[in-house]
Amino acid sequence: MWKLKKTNIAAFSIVAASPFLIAIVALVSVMYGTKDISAITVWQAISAFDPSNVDHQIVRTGRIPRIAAVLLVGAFLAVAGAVMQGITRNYLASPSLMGVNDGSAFVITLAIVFFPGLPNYQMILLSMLGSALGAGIVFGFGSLIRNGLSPVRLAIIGTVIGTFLSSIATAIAMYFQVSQTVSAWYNTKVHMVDVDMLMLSIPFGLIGLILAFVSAKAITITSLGEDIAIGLGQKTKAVRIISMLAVVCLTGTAVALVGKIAFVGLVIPHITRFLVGVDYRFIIPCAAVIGAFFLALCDVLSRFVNYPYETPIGVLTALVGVPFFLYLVRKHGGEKGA
Amino acid sequence: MQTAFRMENLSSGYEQVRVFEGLNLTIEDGKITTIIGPNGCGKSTLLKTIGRILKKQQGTVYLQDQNMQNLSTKEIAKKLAILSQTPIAPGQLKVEELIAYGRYPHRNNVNRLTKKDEEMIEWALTVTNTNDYRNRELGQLSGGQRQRVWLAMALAQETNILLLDEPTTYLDMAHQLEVLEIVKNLNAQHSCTIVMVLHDINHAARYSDHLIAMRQGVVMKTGTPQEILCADVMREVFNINARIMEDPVTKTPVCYGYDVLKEVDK
Amino acid sequence: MKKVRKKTSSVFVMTVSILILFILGASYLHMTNGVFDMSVMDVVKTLLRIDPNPKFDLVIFEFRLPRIVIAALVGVGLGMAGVVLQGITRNGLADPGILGINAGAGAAVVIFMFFFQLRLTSADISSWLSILMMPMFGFVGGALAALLIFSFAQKNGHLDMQRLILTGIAINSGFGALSLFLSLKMSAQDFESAAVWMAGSIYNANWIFVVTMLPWLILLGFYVHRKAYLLDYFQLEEDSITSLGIPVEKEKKKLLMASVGLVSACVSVSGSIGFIGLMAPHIAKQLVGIQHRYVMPVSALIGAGLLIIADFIGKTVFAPSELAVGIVVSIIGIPYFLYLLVKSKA
Repeated sequence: MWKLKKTNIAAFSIVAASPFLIAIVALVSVMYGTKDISAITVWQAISAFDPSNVDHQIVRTGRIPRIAAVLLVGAFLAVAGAVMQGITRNYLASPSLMGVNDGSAFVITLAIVFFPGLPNYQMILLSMLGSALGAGIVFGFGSLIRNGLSPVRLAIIGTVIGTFLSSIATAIAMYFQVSQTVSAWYNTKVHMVDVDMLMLSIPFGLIGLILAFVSAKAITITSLGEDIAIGLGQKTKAVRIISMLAVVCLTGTAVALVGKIAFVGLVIPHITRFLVGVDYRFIIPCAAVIGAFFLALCDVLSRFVNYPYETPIGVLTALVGVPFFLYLVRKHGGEKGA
Repeated sequence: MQTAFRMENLSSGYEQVRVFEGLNLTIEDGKITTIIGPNGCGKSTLLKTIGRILKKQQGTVYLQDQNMQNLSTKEIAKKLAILSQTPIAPGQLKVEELIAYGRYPHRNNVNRLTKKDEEMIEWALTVTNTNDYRNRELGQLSGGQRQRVWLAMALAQETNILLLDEPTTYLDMAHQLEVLEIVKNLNAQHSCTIVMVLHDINHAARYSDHLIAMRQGVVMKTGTPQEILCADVMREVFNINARIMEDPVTKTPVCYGYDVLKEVDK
Repeated sequence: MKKVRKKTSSVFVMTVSILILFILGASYLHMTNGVFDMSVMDVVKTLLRIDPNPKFDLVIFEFRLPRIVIAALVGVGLGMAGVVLQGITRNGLADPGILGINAGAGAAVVIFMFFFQLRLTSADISSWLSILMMPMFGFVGGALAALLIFSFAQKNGHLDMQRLILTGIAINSGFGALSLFLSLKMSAQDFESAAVWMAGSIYNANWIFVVTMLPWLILLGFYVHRKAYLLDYFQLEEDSITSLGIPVEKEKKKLLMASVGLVSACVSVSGSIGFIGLMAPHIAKQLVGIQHRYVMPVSALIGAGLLIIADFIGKTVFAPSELAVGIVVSIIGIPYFLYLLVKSKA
């Protein structure tokens, strides 16, 4: 296609530069916090772990899991958003706006209330079920309403259903008097990452990433337009199913790990597309690394914006996300395929 | 002879676009004046500007020798009424209620209609022949009926000047003439000054005393229908080779056929 | 014409009477049920001051009655604001909550709470004064939100409804995040009450709050009711309205400011409660038609009734814990919103 050469370079340079950038951010994240720990100590904590050394403990059980979780979630959400936007041709499609995140959180709440003490891997599976449920309801409603699948309409439906699910979840939690635990799940808990959950989310999320990458070419064709896709003989149904599976895996894992984080899935795909063009074979890997980097950056900032207190990471993503969202609305309006 | 409108050095347009500038024009009182021209020539813009719906960018408009800028919008509403091109209203609104809206500039108490109000509403219903469906909802009317109802609302405003922006464009042939006949009677029997924008030059010629022909924001020529509907003017304004004759029944000029001018003919 | 008008006004009178009865009924339910065990006779006796019992007095006059009164007043305010917003935007999906005006006012009030270290239940002079200032703060926040939303939603000088709602969603998130951020900076105690308040609750209702919002409600409520007829004209397009001699922009802005004021007054005492401003006008229009001078008061009454019932549900269904009224309203309001969305032609 026309811009192939240029996007190749951009995409490759991003992917090439990312390990360094991510390593730097990760290091900063581990080193600085309520208590600053020197780089050497960090290295020692990894290579020559001394259980009695408090700093080593902090690094191992607190900071490294945290930055690992943040990087993973950033990547997962960004790729999920990219896939959603490609498949639905909707520039506003994203896990937080389409009820996907809320669906996950809803099912997790039900699980905590009715089946407390479930093993982590089951929680992740339930979370994925919730993602599918949320997306199903939102897109279901969207198809019922005239012009309901247009970006704006879908965003409205998604937000509204998301709020609805949240409200019901809160009501249920309150009724069964477990609201403390539930709100811990709802508001992101990056600083209390469960290491076991973290280890589990790697394979689950990886499956999602692989599914996404495998369908990348098909997604590119779909994103160009329904007619083009059919004309080129693509099996649209199969593509849809596989990509939705990818989205569900990715968001389900992300929400199970750290709760709901908004705007990452919306903003990062746009930035990525701007940098590397419209080919999803490049967009997906680049979105993953850009997303990881972005969220890690937000996480670092969240610790310093209100030193020495932590700011919920959602506030920072909103800080970037809301103006960006407004800009998108202003630029694209309500048309489909924008 | 008082002028209904006098424009001095008038410029107007939308946001970044200036549609016309430096316009000097007068429109006579008590006559039917129609503005014609190809798409984008500025005829609607001109009408909206003198009707103060569009804010002018430069110059002055005198409404019956008074600077419009010095008049409040309500005072202006007592002197002129405008009917825009595609008016909208809630479908459940009843015909009578819509027409009653036209009485706004004259009403002091919004909740009660005076005898005068009711008289004017009745008059508007009669003149536009809409009495039969005064209690029907707008949504149930046909295009032709709805257009006459909107006209009735403008009439209920009890003004001496009526501005009509393409009042016939979406109507079928019979209804087009219906509306134009009502307009002609208003002028004949009540000395209402009419300023219209029409697409159909034959209608314009048949129903107007005076024509203003515009092209790309410039007034090319003004005059009687006989003066405007002639080959030279048609060529200049519409870029067509028009064949004109006199309608034996109405005695007004009619364009019975035309060809588009090719580049080579110019 | 006279016949048509007579019919509508008698429908109006009948509807108003039924609604008042409905509100009284809802209040009765609310007042006679609660955590503290009181028989109906006890309630009646306390109200009528027969054989007063200080314990009963406390429950009725310090807890239940102010709560009902606030629910009613907030319902009135939101119901009226909803009518104005739907009238100005010519869109039946407009609601101060969806549009983010609630969030804006809420953020401003949280800022206020943060800076003035407000203890929400004490009653000395300094806190009286600061509580009275809350609605004004809220107004600034709400006005800012409205300004942002309406300027972002402009497209070629006209209000684009799609963009309006989308911008509202964004503003909601933005101000919500801001509120969250600020609330976390508060001391633990304040945070508790702030969190509950932000969800939209009347839990902490007291007479101070009533005094805070009542003047605004009365003033703005009357203004909005008097100007309600303008909303009829606003259903026509801009050009037609201008032709009639109505200064459109000016009047729209004044009405908008008034509704923001109403919303802010409500938000400052009850937190963000959405969807009342959405549902009440629709139900009102179904009952009394589209003439706004009838719709306005009816919507106010419906808003009051809805909120009293919602608060009652929140109070009893989950006893002994309370479900914030904002959440109850969301659970009822969202399906209604979706139903309207399915039905709408826009």
